Amino acid sequence: MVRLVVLTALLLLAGCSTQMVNEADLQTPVYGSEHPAVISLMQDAEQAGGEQQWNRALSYLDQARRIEPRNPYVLVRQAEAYSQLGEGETARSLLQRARIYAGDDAQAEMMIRTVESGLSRSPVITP
Amino acid sequence: MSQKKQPRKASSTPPAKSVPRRRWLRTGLGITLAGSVLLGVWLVYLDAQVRQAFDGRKWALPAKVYARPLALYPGLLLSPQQLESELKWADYRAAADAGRPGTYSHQGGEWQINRRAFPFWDGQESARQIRLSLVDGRIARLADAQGEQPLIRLEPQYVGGIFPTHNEDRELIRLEDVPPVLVAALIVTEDKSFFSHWGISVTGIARAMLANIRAGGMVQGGSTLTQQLVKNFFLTNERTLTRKVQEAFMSLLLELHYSKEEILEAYINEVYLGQSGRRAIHGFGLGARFYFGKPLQELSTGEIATLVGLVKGASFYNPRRHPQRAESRRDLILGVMQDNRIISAAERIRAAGQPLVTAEPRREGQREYPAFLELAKQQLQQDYRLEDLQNEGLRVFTTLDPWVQYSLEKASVAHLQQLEAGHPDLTNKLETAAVITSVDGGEIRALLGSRHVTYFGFNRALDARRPIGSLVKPMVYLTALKEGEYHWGSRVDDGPVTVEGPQGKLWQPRNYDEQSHGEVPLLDGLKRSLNQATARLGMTVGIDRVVTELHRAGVLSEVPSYPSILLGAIDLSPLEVAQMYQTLASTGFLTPLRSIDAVTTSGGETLSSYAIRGRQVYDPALMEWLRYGLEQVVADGTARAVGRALPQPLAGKTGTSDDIRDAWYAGFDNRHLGVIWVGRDDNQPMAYPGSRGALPIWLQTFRDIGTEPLPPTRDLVQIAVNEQGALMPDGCRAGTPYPFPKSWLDKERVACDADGAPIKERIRSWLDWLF
Repeated sequence: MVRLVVLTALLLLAGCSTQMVNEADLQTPVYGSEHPAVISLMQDAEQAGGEQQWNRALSYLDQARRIEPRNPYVLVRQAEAYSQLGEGETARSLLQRARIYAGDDAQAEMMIRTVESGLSRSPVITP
Repeated sequence: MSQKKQPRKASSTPPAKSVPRRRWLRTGLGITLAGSVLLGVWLVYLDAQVRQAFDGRKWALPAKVYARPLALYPGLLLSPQQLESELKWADYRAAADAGRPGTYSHQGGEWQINRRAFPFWDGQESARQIRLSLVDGRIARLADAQGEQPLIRLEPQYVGGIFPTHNEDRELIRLEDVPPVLVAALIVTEDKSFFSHWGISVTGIARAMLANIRAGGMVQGGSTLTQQLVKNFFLTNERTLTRKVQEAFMSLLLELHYSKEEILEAYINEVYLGQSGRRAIHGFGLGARFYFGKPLQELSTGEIATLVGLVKGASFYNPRRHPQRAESRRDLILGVMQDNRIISAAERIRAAGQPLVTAEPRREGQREYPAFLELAKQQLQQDYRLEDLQNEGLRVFTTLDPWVQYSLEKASVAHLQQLEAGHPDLTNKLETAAVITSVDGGEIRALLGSRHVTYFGFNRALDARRPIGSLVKPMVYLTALKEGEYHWGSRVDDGPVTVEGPQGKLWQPRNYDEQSHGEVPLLDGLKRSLNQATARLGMTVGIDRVVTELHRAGVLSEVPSYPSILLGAIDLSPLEVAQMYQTLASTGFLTPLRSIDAVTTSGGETLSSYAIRGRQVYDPALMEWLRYGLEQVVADGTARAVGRALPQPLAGKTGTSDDIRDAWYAGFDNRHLGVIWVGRDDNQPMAYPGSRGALPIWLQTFRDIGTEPLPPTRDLVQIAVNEQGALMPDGCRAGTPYPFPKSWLDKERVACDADGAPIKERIRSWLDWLF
């Protein structure tokens, strides 16, 4: 009986963890990682993106990707960087890739859609 | 007539003696004038030559190619062996206190690394005192003088250069960065009056002549540093008077136009100091790195004296080949340094008392990686002119992982020796090639073009196109699974196959064990690598469709639409095979395999950087489905040796071509894909199939670099299949469960078999657990 209670509680917690995401959430950087190195590299990329150095941003993100190859937040930022460099097709491919790894992550999905909807508009990477 | 002429002639002719003298004088004047004009023209020509060569870029600087820098961060899987190896390969030395850049120390798992300053692709980083803790093979803590750090890069290993045809290599160094002791030692040894002469030294020449007369031969040169520079920089080693005169004039011209400091700096970078294979070592910067494994600034007094001693004869005083001779020369120079008050007596005694220790010439930090370099050069030439790569001193940061490369080389060399020991008739006949990439990014981490890992020559990884044998089979099964009618439990006939070709030629493939196995599940066809079942399946789904999938997965070579391609009668290079398997390993993302990360100018300005790119060419669920089959090959099929040694989810496929001429293995874990080929250059049979010829190399390499199990599939569900290959309803106890993409849940099912039990029983057991 105790096990049943524990399982029920876990299920309820799992349900509660589903996040409601809105546009405002995208204003604060989401890294999808607690890895200090990944966060540090993504911040370097944000800074480079803020300076319009999109190739540099891309390389920092690629280093982050090597540490967490399937982090959709890294991939979506790389898509954004490619988009800024005028490489729409590559950006779309990476968004597709990001979506595969995003799974049920609503926040990641929201970022993907934002980049998708305006491939050449304002950057999602917030400096 | 002749009588008339004689008196006239006599009266008009001057005295006999004065006529030739005047003519001689005129001729002499003419010659002098012409000579002066010619000399003037020649000097103008020499002057132009001197200025042209000296004003611009003085040397063709080869691109310097580096491995990836090891990025340290908390949580990184890193063995102490790897850390120490990588430090040594970047020419770091163990030192008790790690007090100087380029040194490290460790006590147990606590490491201190004094990283040198280094110009990374994104900018110069100053020297850092790194502290890290290794616990259970991972970095637990990482800090520097500023405190805890999320990420610190180590200095990358130099892996080679892209040289001009003369193969000169050098590390340019500015005069202000040269230790003053070296400059002083060089001057007092080679040209004491350097700062006072005008390019040539009359006293020097006189002194040398005297010495030569006394010795009865050429024992001493009277050349100044300027003359030596001119000789090395502009002229040949020819010993003629004309060349000597030209050298003298050019020295004077050089001194006329340039300062002593400029000349000295050029000398320090030009001087020839030795040879390393194809590479000519020029300049004290590279000389320090080559002989002592450290930058010039880190040299001890004794090492400086040894390098200065090499100027007189790089080969004769080579400290590796002639250590005693080099040591005597070093001590002589130390004496001269003391006499000229460059060092104190105590310093001389201390330096002379130290043994002459040089860095290992074949150490990783100075060896080259020919196969990888060739690929990097090829890929660089998509964006850069060869001329620029050979001349501009570019810095190229690559994807090469020296630890993976080292593990691959070690495993390959050892295994080929083992194979040859088992078949002495094969001694020195077997060759190998291999490619290891990162699964998610397609970065090439290691590349082997031959068992002779440091020789430049035929690069089998790129250029040997050999039949891939059963490595093609996953593509046949992929085509079938993609079609929507087949699944791993579908039945396929493994009976004899006969296909009639266009000219009536019959194709009758046989299984490796020469047996037929009747009707087998599709999965068995792949995991047991059954030729007959695979050929029949391929013929059923269509050869053209298999060809289409091969191209979709990344094969660029033309693939003929013949039945034999279903069993691998396709000639591909290991690199092309790796490209194809990369798509399978990365859940359907076709990414061009890449060896370059970034390129900067010699000054550190980033010219280009490269990141992941590609496109999703397969549904990830389909790829997971195929991967299940490849996992079974490892767990229970022809690659079970891998499964037994590394009991975790890994995927792979063995391959053997007709008559066992080629042995292949392609396999991947969650991080790396490896493709290995073993065979003979003369394309003769060699007795070892893929599972024995190539697989063990993969296995040993992946053991050494560490494996990460493949993650559980996300998009597959289990459905039971009956003996006929039909899907059964959920809850049937009978049947064999196979994984299916979720889209198959809606497919029609047959009724449970007679002995199938209802699901209730299983539910009750769950309820039992809960209550």
